[in-house]
Amino acid sequence: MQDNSTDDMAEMLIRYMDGELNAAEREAAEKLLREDAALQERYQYFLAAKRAIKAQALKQRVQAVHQAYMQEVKPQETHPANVVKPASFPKRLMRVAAILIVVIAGYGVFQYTSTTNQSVYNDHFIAYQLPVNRSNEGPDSIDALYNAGNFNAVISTFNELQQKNQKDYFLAAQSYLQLNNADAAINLFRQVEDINNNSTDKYFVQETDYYLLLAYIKAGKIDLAKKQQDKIISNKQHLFYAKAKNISSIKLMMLKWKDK
Amino acid sequence: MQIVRNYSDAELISALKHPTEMDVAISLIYKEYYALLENYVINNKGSKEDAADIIQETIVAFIGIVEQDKYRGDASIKSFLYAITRNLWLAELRKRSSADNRNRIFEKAKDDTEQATIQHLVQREYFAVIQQFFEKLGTKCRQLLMLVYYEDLSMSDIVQQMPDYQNEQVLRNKKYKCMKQLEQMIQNDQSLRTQLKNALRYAG
Repeated sequence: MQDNSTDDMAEMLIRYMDGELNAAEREAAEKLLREDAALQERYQYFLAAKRAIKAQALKQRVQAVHQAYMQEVKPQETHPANVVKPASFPKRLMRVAAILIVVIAGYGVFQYTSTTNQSVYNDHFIAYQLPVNRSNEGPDSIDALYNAGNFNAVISTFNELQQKNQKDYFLAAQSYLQLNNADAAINLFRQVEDINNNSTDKYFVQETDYYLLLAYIKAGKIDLAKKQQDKIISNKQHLFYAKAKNISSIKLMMLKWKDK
Repeated sequence: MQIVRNYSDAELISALKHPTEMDVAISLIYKEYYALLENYVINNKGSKEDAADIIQETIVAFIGIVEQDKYRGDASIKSFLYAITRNLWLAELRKRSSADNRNRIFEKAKDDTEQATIQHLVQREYFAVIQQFFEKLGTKCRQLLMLVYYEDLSMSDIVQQMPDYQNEQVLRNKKYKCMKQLEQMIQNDQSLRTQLKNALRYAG
């Protein structure tokens, strides 16, 4: 527990970092920082925290552009343009129209036949990675087992735990997803939601939103997947907003038709 | 992904510094340079997937450099990105082939891009730990800090988006509280504190 003066100092450092101090206050803060090495060190912690937050958001932003690029630009490389010989304008127009119809129809058929729960899931699934934390427990901890890709062991350890928190449920659910047991993953993701709904300490909320959406797709529960997608994209600040938005509504509709 | 027009290097740098133009700028980098950077990785024992990861990392590193005004324009964006990709990929190959310290290859940085790459790799390590702490904050804290530090929104704009908080002062107090929680978690992690100190020493 920190006392009030320490709290005041922290607030002063944050305000200095964020440019909220007036000239006199700023000068006083800079003097304190020059003279007090411990305070300077705390300031560096705040700066590092601010930069890490920005870096996380930036990484997500680049990932979203990357996915859009892969979806929209890369497929063109595998479908080179047809070479059309010069012809009169009406003929050329008709040829272009005919080609377009064939291409669009062919593309539609191709999409319809090639779109499966698994293909949509694969297109959007990125394995959840726990950040490296050297202060973690030993090699048998759920974190370490998960990081090592030992998903069966994660589930066994999870089942033996007497007390489970959101992270335990979340990592076990991720492991079920990796082991292609979508129904079990859904069950555990819902438990993360339940715990968060009944607790003031909420962890993995938005991660659960997104991976539950993917689990619904994998399990063929498309109505629930659509609701989950709508929930995420109704919040532009959601950490997974861009990723959820990238999931094609048309493909979800196709999956629903196929299921009928 | 729609590229509206071409940008000069200077315009691209300016766009990367503005949140509203950043996506277009990143898209343009992809359109212009992805194939070049992908070829480098693939021609040097990498797969398409390796290239995808390294190029994303390159762009994140490059934007970090631009935001800190460390890109001086001595080399073109194309050359700079190519050099970062090469450095990151060499570091990755080194990491895969040996248990040696991945940064040892750059102990004596020869040029700006090597220097920038090392700083990026060092930062990536401790950012990952801080980001894990960040994930432990409540949803409201995370949302607020993202809006403040990434979206760069004013408190009056944020009040509109987070109506649970009555006014700007209440939001400011919440921001201080969230940042203090994050700082406390950093304070409590001796290993992270050492990493940070070393990083600062390296950055000079």
